[in-house]
Amino acid sequence: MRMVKKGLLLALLAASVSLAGLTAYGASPLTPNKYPDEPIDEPEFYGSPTSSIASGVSVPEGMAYLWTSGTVPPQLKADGKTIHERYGDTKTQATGILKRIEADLREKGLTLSDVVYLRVYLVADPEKEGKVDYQGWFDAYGEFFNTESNPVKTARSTVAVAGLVHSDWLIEIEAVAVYPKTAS
Amino acid sequence: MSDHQMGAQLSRRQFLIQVAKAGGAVAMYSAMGSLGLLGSPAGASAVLPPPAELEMTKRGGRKIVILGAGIAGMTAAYEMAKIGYDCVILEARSRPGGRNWTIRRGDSVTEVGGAKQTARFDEGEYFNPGPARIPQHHITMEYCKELGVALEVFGNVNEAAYYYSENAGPLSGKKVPKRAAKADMRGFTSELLAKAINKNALDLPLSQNDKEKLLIYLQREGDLNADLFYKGTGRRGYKVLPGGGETPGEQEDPYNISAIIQSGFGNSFSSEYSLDQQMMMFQPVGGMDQIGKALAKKVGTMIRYQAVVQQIKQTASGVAVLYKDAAGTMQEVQGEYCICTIPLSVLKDIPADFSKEMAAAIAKVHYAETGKIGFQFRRRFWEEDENIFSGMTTTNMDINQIWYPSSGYLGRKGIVVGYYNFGEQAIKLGDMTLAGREEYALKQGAKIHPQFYKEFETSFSIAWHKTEYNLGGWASYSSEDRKTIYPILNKPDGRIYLAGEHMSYLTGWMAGAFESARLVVNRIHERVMKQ
Repeated sequence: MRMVKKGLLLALLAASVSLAGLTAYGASPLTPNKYPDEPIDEPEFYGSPTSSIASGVSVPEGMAYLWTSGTVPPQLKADGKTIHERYGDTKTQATGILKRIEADLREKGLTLSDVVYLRVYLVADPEKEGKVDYQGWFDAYGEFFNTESNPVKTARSTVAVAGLVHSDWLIEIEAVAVYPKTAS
Repeated sequence: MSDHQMGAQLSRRQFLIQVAKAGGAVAMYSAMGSLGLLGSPAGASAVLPPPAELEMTKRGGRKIVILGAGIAGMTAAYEMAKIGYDCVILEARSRPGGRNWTIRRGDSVTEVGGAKQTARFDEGEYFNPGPARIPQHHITMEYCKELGVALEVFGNVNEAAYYYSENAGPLSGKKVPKRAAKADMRGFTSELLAKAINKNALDLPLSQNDKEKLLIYLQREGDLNADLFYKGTGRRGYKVLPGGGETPGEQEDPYNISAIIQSGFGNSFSSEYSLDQQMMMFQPVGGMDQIGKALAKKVGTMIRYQAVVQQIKQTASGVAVLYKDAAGTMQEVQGEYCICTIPLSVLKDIPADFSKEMAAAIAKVHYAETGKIGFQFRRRFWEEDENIFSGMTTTNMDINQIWYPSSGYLGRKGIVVGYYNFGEQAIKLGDMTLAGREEYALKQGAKIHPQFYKEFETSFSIAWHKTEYNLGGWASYSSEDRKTIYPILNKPDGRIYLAGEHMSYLTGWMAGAFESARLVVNRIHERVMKQ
């Protein structure tokens, strides 16, 4: 039963990254019996080695998931005069969120290298010409993922929205993590 | 031979150990001399110091730091532990064996600058990406016996496999059974030589009687007819095989003499003549890594896995090696001597206080680019459709070789080596994406076996020159290197001794790793005994 699809998650990327990297592995009329890229013992990440994120990730049957809620930034200074003083700019807020997620995961026995997918909501920063600071988020991501100590490159969606619950929040992040199988 | 008889017979090595136990090293070397072992370096390396010597002379507990848990590193630890040394092995990977490796379902690897690859072979199927065959005269056989590794025949030569060449005259693009190419080539060259002898066209220092005998030989060698013509032979195969009842078999005409010469197939015959490629050859039952695993059973407690060497330091009294452990924390291990089996292609970039001469020699050695792909097919069409059981097809296409499995005969599925190539061809395929290699090798292989596409299920490929902690297949010395660089590498640098296939004249063979490890064990022990 190698074609079992139950429990198989294909967390796909929105917007900018195409699905070509995934579908290119499938069987073709020339190779009708070619195996699909189904994961075996651990989640498998697809995509270009040079990209900082995965084009997709698949998780083998029988693995357990953790979905975090949308996690929001920690407050830096309650009486700050600006958003940046109270919560920081997008990069600072993102870094604060990822540290929060890291701490939440640790409580469950997980680490950031168990994260397979991130969905990120950004709003325009009134203190940066009212523009969405995508680069601020990318920079924060780059400090936690695709590094020497955590080579994992998650599948990821980055979307800009009209507003978050608190007007000072510039970013909110949801993470999906998978519990690793204990070594047999 | 019964088990009882085997047990009663002493091997040369066991005998020498007994001599050494009774009489010490001097008696052993004297015995080696009488056995004619001292004249041959390989023979000398095969004899190790007696187990009790270190304890008897109160030199016990010496600590040896070994870098790399491949064949050389584990053999060194195994033999040193036998004599009474205390060894620790640092291994960068989380498995033992190094290039001695077998890929099975779920195994994964990420090449330098490449994507992660996971093997999707069915349970029970496997692929040896590194060493895959053992010549019967190699010391590897002795270790398989000592370690209890079961062997089976590896079909290195199979007349049923093919030669296939492109841009090589009239036989281009035609799959020619090796038996046909060999019979025709031998037939025609025998015919030519026989005719020349008959016409006294050759200035041969032979008597008339010699010539007659030589003609008889050539007639048999080439299967020539009574008039000394080669008109084809059953050796090359039949259109219709001889069979039961009234089926005498139907032969085919030989290829045109010019066509068979133009094909260049004859230039490939000699690869089967070289000492290390002659049948019989062997492989461990169940995968080449059975050897590495058997060694790890002996020395596993000494191995620190995921320990990546960062720096090698030495003083007048010892060696200190800095490494990063699995958690990324820097650690240090110290010893009196260090046996470094890290491939020179990797070692050259590790900070170490080698002498300038040694560092330069290490940096200069070229490592072979080489790659392989394992194809799992859902049906053993090479057996079912073409009666090929093991062996390999040889081609001048980039895939170079196709290997048919030497196990699981008559089974359902099987893993075929879809390419095994070197140099520019290996670089070309290694630079492709994983999917690109697969597609390319399927396309070329399908010219020989059209069944490739339909029966293909999954692949796993390796480019050794892009594999972390190896960065090459094996050391590749020029004859000039052997004179200039190699002697430097062979000398200890202070307290550091190099071992591995690169420290032998058996580069690329596991035997080179085994033998060089034993040599280094002897050298260190001799030094300790002199202290």
